[in-house]
Parts: sequence; structure tokens; C-alpha cells
Amino acid sequence: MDLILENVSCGYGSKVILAGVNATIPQGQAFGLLGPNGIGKTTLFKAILGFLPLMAGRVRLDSADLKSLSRSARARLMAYVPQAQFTPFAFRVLDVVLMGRAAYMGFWGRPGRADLRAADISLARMGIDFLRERPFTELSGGEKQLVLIARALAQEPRFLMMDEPTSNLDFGNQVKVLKIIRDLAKAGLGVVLTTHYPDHVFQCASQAGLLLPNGNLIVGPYESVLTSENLSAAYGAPVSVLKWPGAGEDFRVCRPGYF
Amino acid sequence: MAYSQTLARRGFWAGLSRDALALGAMVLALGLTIAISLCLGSHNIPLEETLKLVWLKLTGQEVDPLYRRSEVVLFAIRLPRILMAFLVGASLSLAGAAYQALFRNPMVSPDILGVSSGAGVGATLAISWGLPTLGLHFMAFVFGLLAVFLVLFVTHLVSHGKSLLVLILVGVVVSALFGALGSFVKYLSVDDQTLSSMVLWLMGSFAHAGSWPNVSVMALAFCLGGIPLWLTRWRINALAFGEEEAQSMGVGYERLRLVIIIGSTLLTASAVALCGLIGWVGLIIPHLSRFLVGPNFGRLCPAAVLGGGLFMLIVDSLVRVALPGEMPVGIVTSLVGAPLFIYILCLGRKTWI
Repeated sequence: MDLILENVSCGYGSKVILAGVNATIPQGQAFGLLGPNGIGKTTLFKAILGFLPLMAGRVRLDSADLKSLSRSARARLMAYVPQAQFTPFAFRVLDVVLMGRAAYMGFWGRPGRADLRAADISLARMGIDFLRERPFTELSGGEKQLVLIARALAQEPRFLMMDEPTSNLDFGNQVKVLKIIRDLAKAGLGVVLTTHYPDHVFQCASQAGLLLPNGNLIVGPYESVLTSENLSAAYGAPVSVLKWPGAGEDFRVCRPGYF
Repeated sequence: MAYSQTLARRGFWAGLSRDALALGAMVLALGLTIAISLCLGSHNIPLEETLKLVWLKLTGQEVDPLYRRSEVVLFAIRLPRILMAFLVGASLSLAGAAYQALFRNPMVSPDILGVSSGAGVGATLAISWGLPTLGLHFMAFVFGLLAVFLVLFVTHLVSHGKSLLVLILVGVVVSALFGALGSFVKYLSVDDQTLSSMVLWLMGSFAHAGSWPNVSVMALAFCLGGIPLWLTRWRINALAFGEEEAQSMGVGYERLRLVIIIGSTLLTASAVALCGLIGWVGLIIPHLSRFLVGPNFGRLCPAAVLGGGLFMLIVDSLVRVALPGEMPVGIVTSLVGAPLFIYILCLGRKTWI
């Protein structure tokens, strides 16, 4: 299944922030969306998720227009992982993950055995079974992020939309979450993530989108999109992309231009 | 997935039994309080006599004329008043719990959202126009709804509904506005009789509300408002992370919000229409209930109902038995509620501030 953006324009009220965005994101790959502050990454993200109405164009999953799908049908195809969120109430981790099962129930429904199992499976998949009975509000930022990923997985979606999954995390948790994203994509999920760090895209994604200051979006395999020239132009700061020497997989890092 | 299944079973029941214990204790306390409250009053009735009379009533047998007086006191005066106090406390507390879940804000309550003072204005108007009971209910409900929607609208204008603090501030402002409107209506009322009955009634009391017809009206409102909240109890949880996340999980936010607002406002407005303004219950009891059983609405809902009813019944019994005259119960809930809330703030600081 492919996630297809077709000539998408989005913005707030009557103000257009991005126009004419085209991209095809296949399932089974991670797609990293990069761009300078205030260029409209979040806006595009929210438009894909349906939080903002599209001003023009379509977002499709294969041939199905997302707009034509019911909210729960959409939730079964696409799940959202927000940045670790504030909630005033100390819900049990299990209850938080079970919320991801709402799309499989009617308006008056409540979770049954199968939902409980799905929640446990996704907790186990994130390796956080031991957090199951803990109050969500008492977890660390990294643990919260893992719980929110588990909640999204409990939706059993085809695509995961992750909003800056590595921000607010310490280095160890960043590495952990990036590895998880990589593994989820390998396991067949489509992952779209936004981030401020090209390095994070190198570490977990195979596809990249780069928003330029003029509002254009360059899309493609990261090696052709995240080049020294493109990144320098996008961020207005000299950057060079280095290929890591040595055998094995292609691995790149960014180096600031003043070195 | 055998491992996850055993884990599921153990965890699920472990959590349930602890909460079931809390709920069981509340039911027990409620039964005791009802029994004590039935016996005590200006005409004390021994416990055996009370139990015997209840038994005779339940089995439909003839009551000895010797006990006629006790029978009247028990079944025409005390029992309806006890039921009324329970229903009103339960309604206010459940409404508070639901509003708090909807607005993701533990500081919200029917009072703070302006629902109570809105309903108060509606009811005052109805009294001054001499409307019948049904009209009074209707006016209280409509003005209560008006107040919530005004709060929602202004909050949206100011902060697009993102700020928890703005909601509270706007609620305070709208409450004050409706409070002033209420005073205005009172000021306009010509004769002193109507005025003093309005003022006394607004202070909140069960002294005159506890009749069987009133109890059945309140019970009906409790069911109409409470059952939808109970049936959507699980979806209400999914609101904990806000509108966008609820949408992304497939929860129909707009419909759920409407169900919660209408249900909770009906609960609040009916309580106000029958018994006047009784503050703090809708703020404090949901808080205490969350301490006991956590925020999961499936458990919070019964805990808030039992806790609210129990609290109100205890306060009303104290007012009736221990204090001279008929002090309005609303005064006592505020006297008890304000310091209790400060204590709760100190207790719960780390979980949500």
C-alpha cells in the first residue's frame, strides 16, 4: 500500500503555507521529513493526518481518498505518534495502549479479550511489558514515547505518522527509538517521521523529503535528497554530508561546514 | 502469546480487585449511612424498629397502628430526602468527573464552568415568572447549556481551546456574569416573599425538595444524563490526550463531546432546579474518587456516583441532625469543601500540576 500526496496544499484559515506538494511513500519504508523551522512541516503533517482540511489536492492510500474514509477506517490504516504528551490524569500504561483500540469498536463499545491481547502484543513489541501497570504520568520521556508508539501499534495500522519522535529524548533513547523505527519499517510498516536532524534520517529511514525555504519539497531516496548542497540550501548553513568509510551498509553523517 | 495472556489475566484482575474493594467499601459505607440517617432526626426511631418497618414495607405487610408515626416519618419524610440527597450528590459528582475528562482539566467542575450559576439564573427566572416545575427544569437546563457553550466559545476565541488555564478563567468570568444576572432577577422581583424564597432556595437545601414526586424527577434526570456517560465510559478515556489524538485513534470527538456536555449539564441543571446551588461536590468528589480508583472512567464513574451520593448524604444528615434549625446544605458543602480542596491540592501536587 502506498501513501500518496497529490498536489496537496495546506495552511491555516485562508493562509496557504505549502502548495502543490507531491510525494509517494510506500509501505515498508521509513520516510523522514526535514525542513527549517516555520516552513510548514507540522502543517503538512497535520494535513496528512486530517487534523487540518486540505486546501487543494488529495491524500490517498492506494486508490482510497482519505477524506472519503470514516474516522475509524482511517485510524485502522494510519496511526499517529505525537511528541510525548502532557495529560493531567494518571492513566495506567495499559489503559493508554488500549485507547489505540478505539477504531475497532462502536461508539458505545469497550475493549474485549482480543483488544487486551493486541495491547499486550504491542507492549511486548516495544519491550515495555514491565511498564504495563504503571501510571503514564510517572514515566520518563523515553518511556512515554515508547508507550505512545505501542498505542499506535495497537491500532494495527499500515502507516505510522511520528511527529518529531526523537525530540525531548536523551541520546540513548534517541538511538533506541531510531532503531525501533528502522525495525518497524523492515517489518512492513510505512513510517513518516519529522525531525530536525538529518542524521536521524540517515539512521532510520530510506526515503526523505526536504522542504526548501521557497516551499518546494524534494522527495526521493535519502542519498539523492539529503546532499550537502540541498541541506545547505534548506537550512541556510553550510553542511557537508560524509559517507562513513568502511564496509557494510551505506551510512552517512552530517558535518557542519566550519570544520 | 501465552506469556502475554497470563500477564493480561493476572494484571487485569489484580487491578480490578483493588478497585472493587474500594467500590465495595463505599457501598458498605453508603448502606450504613442510610441506616443511621433513617433512624436519627427530631423523632429518633430505634434501629430494630426501622429495620422492622422497612421489612414490613418491602414485604407489603400491614403496619401496626402503634408505629404509624414512625412509618410516616420514615417513608414520607426521611427516605425521599435521603434518596434526594444521594441522587443530587451523585449527579453533581458524576457531572464534574465527566467535565474534567472532557476538558482534560482536573480543576473544572459544574460550578467553575458556570453551569451551576447558569442553571441558577434559569431557575430564578422561572420562579419569578411563576412557571410550573417542568418549566423550571427546562429553564435551568437551557441556561446551564447556554453557560457551557458561552465558556467554550470564549475559550476558543481566546486560545483555540488549547490552554487549560484560559478555560478556568473564562469559567470564572462567565460564572460571575450569570451570578450578576441572577442578582438582577432577584432585585427585580417585587414581593419580599418571592425574594426570600429565591435566596433561601439558591443556598441549596433538601428541606423542601425531599418529596416522592421530586425524587422521581431527579431519578429520571439521573438516568437520562448518567446512562449515556456510563455507556461511553471507555471512549471518554480516549479524550485524555486531547482532540487531535482522539481523532487519530478513530474517536468521533464532536459527537462524544456533545453527549458529555448534554448529559452532564442535564445532571447539574436538574440538581440545581430541585435543590438550589450546592457547590464543591462536583470538584472535590471526582478528585477523591481518582485517588481511590484512578482516572479510568469505567471505574471513576461508579466511584464518583457512590462518593458524591455518600458525601451529600453525610452532609445533609449532619445538617438535619446535628445543627439547630435547617441550615442550607450548600453552606456546609462550601465550608467543608474549600479547606478539603486545599488539602487535596497539597496531596495531588505531583501528579498533575
